[in-house]
Amino acid sequence: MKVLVVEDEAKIADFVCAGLREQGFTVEHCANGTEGFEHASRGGYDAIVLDIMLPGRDGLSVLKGLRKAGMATPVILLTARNELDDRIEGLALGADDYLAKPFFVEELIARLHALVRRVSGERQNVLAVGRLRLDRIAREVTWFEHAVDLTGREFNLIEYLMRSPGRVLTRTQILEHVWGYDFDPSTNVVDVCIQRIRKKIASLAADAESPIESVRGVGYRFRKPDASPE
Amino acid sequence: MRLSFRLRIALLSALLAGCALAGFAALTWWFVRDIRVQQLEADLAEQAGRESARRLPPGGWQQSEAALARTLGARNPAEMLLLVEDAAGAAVYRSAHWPTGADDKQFPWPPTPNPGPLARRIDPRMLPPPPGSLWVPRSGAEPPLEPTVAIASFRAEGIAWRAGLAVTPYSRVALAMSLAVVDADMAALRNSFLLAVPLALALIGLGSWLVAARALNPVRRLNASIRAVTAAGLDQRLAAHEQDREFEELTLAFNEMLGRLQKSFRQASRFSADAAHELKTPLAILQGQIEREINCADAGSRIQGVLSGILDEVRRLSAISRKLLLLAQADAAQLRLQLAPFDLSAALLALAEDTRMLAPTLQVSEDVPPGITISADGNLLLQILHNLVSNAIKYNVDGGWIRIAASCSLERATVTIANAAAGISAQDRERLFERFYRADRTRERRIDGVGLGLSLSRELARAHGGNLELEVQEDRSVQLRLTLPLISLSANSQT
Repeated sequence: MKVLVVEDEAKIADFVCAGLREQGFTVEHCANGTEGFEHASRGGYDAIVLDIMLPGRDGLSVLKGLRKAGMATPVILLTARNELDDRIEGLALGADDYLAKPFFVEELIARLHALVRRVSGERQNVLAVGRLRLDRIAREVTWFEHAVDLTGREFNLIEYLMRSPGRVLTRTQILEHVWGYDFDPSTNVVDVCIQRIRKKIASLAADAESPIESVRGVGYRFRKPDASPE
Repeated sequence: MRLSFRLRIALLSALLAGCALAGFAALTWWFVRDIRVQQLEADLAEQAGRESARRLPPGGWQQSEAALARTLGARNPAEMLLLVEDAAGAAVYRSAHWPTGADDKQFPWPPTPNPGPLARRIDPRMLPPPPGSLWVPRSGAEPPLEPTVAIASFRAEGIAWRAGLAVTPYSRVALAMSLAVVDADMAALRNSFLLAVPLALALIGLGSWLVAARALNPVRRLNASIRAVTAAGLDQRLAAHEQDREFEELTLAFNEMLGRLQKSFRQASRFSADAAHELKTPLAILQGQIEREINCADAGSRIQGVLSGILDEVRRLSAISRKLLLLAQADAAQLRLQLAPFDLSAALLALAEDTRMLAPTLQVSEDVPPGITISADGNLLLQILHNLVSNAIKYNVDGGWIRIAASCSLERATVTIANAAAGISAQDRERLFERFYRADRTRERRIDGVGLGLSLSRELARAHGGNLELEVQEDRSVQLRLTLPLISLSANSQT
């Protein structure tokens, strides 16, 4: 999957590009709007990550130009200014999603996946990692073919973990994705929720190893199946 | 106590008018008195002249004096003096009450007229024979002799007198009147002034009071307009041309001030947007790099734990700056809502589930009918709800309870979140919505929040056209009530 990142802040561009590459994306980077527009209008990208505040030509103008030229490539806007204003304007101009700075790269990846999925017609409705299967449409989870009865939050949490197996997700990241960015960050709601998921899964197949692994002092990660090619 | 402007105007007008009237009265009084005295002097001179031409037997002067007293208007005989002397200066008649201090030798007697041939007109029998007189009186041929006259003023026994002096070759007459006669008339005039001036002052004061009220009318109108402007927003301006010319300038000045205020508000709002940008970029870098390092570090290593802790703090920082920005925007009425249908019922049920997970020891009950959908900014509304629930957990008691309820009328949805509490003092109740205020006063950060939560929640609720209020409950519980219109009009949040 090929992604164009248009971001002038070198350090942000660094970790965004690095994070995306780690997840198997092919990444190209432009540091200003003019260059970004040239690259983007050439086409060939599956998605574009576009900062709004850019030297040369600002993000909203790039987006407008692309849509005017008939380019339908999905665009995620990165906003730092008055996020609510930009969000409204950006969405009106044809952006597909937005992320307010500061954001987690993990969240950006999740959004990119969702976007591409949406555009390419829900290719990946079913996630399967090891013996755990998750159906996004039916909102069903099975573990060793047994249906797991999960609440809304629990489903969202396990889906988030399953999207990047082997990657450590901090409590804060999980909280922000599942509960929303303003949920009280010092609560233990994540731990409680994980405990409940584990208990439900364990009750179905007691001898199997839990798919959710704790990383002490940090958070959780989804256990990568040993032989899984991913 | 400060007197009202109107009262001061009235008093000042009365004072000024009082001074003018008093001055006028004093001048009038003085002129009138002067005229009266001159009149008296003229009368005295004339009468004295007339007397000097008379030849009366000794007893006749007394009658003449009484007649003169009546003619000149003396109220009693003591107010008039009469002295008749012969050519040698010996008194022929002197009033019985002639004051001792009045020395007729000191009077400024006018020079004796030259008798000439006229003297013969005078009947010598009427007079004591003038020593060494050469003339022979004849009857009827010559015109009467004109006496020379003068005016004298003197004081005797504490009374001021005016005297008319008349001199003929054969006699001298001094006719004096006490000024007390004039003063008595002047007293009457003074009394009428004393009655009229205060009456006039009272009328002027009342008039000024009424005029001041009229004069203040434009100010009152202006005041009303200004009040309306404050409530309506800073982009309003007063209509200057509707005012009187004097107030037009004031109105223009006020409009200018509004303009400056609006400008500085815009600048403040611009500043917070810029500040947010400036903060967000370094925070984004910090967060992205920490996130990356956490994933690069060995799973479960010490450094990973440390980085995770730092990441939490960075998120907290982001949350605080975000809240401050929202508050700043709300204060400047610059909060923009992205309204979309929002399933309030579902959100509340999810919250109830969270609450059970978060606080397993608390008894959580919910009374939420399904399908309450309102038009709201989902992110902001969730922020309000999260804040309310986390407060309900934070300030609960051991083994307490939380009750989440929602109801819906034709126009509004109402959410009430009640919890058991360890009693809130009246003071805390009032200050609950203040920024950076925390009821426990310990500022302990056991649970997130810098005390912006309720204050921000209320602003967000108001931006939606709703409100957030503390409902007074019995001692051991707290209930917050959030009301939201089913259809938020974005007009009331966008300027």
